[in-house]
Amino acid sequence: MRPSRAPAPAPPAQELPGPAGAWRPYPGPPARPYGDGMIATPGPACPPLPVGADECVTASGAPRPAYARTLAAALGDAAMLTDMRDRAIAWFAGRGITFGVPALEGAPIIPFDPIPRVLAATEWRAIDRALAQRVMALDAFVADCYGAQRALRDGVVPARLVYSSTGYLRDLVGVRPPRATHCHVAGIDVVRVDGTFLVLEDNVRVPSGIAYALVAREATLELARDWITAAGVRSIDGYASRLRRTLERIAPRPWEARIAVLTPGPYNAAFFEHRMLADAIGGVLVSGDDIVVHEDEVYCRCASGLERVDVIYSRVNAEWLDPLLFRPESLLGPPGLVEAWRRGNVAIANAPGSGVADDKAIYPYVPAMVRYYLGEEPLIDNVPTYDISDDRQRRHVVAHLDRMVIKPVDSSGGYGVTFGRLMSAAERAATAAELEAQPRGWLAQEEVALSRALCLSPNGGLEARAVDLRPFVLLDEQPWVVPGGLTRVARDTETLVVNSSQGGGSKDTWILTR
Amino acid sequence: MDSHALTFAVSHHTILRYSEAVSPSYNEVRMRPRDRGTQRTLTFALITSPPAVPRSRVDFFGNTVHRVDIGDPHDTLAMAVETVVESALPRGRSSPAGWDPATLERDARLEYALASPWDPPPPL
Repeated sequence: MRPSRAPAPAPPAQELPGPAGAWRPYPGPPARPYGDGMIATPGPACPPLPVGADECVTASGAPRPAYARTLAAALGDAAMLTDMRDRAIAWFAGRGITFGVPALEGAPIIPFDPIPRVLAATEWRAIDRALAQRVMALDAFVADCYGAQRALRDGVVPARLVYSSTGYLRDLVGVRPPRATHCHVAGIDVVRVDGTFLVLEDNVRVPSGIAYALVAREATLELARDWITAAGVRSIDGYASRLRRTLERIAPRPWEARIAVLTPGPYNAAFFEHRMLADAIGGVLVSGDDIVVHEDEVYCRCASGLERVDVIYSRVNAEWLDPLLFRPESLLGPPGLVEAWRRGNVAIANAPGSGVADDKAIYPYVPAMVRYYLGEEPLIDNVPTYDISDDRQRRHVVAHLDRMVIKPVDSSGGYGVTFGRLMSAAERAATAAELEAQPRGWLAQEEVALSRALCLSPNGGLEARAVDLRPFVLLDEQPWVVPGGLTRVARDTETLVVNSSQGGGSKDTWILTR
Repeated sequence: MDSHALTFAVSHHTILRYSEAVSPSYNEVRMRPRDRGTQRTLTFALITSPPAVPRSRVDFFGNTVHRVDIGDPHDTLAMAVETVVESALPRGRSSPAGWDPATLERDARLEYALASPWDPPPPL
């Protein structure tokens, strides 16, 4: 049976009049082939592939070259794949690799699909350059928000969006963090729509998921080493040492940097990742109780007594970092931490306040930031998005609600996301009223058909499910993009969101060396 | 200073009592009058019990913030501010900006015309 596929968005019925450059109605998807674009001959062992799996299969049903070269034999061996999935689940459970899913009881292990996502070297080169560029622009924007605010005065990003953002922490205006870098770690969500990669979302507050990408690779190496070795796949081992180097570079005393990973604690969905990264970078895992600030110096309670901390890799949202400045009820960070940071006695990554670049209402302006700060054309575009707080754009959204995905601006994990296409007439009216009442609270994106990758179905067959890709970018002296990242897959063939919090799973991501 | 200026002596006392001893305690104190326009602070003293050595910084709005950290257990925290301020009515007026965000799009004062996400207005 062919998996169902979301209809591609139709071009708008009418062009809206509007000022040049500010925004434009979505002109409809461009028709472009994937990566190297060739059609390969399937290997002898390759079974018929679901046509909807456009990541792996061309419209005519032939596997794409990257897949034909690397996966054909394995795809014909359902027993091997099923066995690999079962062993991977046992392997994850044994290592305590979990991602909390409050809504789904008894499913603490992030679902793992054994069939890797494969990207050709040429496809990856384009993503690598585009994301490096994008993170440079996001970092420049954060620096600007807490500095001269040039982009706001020049109208590149509407000042009203920055000033009304929960991510904009005005107590931090004028603070210049070490090396003037803010966004040390970014996770940029990339989707492929009709052959073109687009950014769906920028995560620069506390992007999570790299540990799941690292363990997916470990699982593949453990369970199918011959397979991955024969394919010629770029290693992602270097992530931890790169992260360590990125953090050491901003330490007040780089020659003996003590790094602490600050976690909200074991009830956080990504706690496993915090623990794993602390181990991997030779840091100490701490929660708010474990660190104290004394006379603007930060110390960690260790077995041997108080030890000075030089760098905090924070996995706590900035507004919870310091009860003196932000949320007074917070116990997740010690009082006085931000003052210690302000005085340069401790480095914090990402810099508090970076969340302003993570506000979904500001995301529509990221391509403009690239042009403004870097003087370059963006190498990757956004999914067509509308700023609800702009009256004309909001009217356009309300008039075309059936094509839109509505997201709350300051939520993550896929919570609160609704599809206009699936709403009843009453729900559409309620949504339109809500957008009128709380324009700053929402964002609208055109519903796009995410590309679909081959997945192992529960009964051992092959099926096509929606995927995205979250590569992680480290901003050291130069940006570095981990070759691959976390491929997230929707939990079944019908689901259109891929968030782990919505029951989505992960698969290994192979960037081929040639 | 303006010949019409008046000099004020201001005393401000705060006493916090806790039901049991607390330690440590971190506080931010905004008590120093502004030096701005026709106003000048002549003397300022902040004294706490238990004693602390306050450190200061200037916040986003230009207010002086004193940090008072007390490490020893205490069940009462008293803070006394004694200050002498010279002040006169301002001459002239700054240009009114209005409150409509639309007309303030590129005005630096826009920031003050928007609802703070930290303190949203009550629903209508």
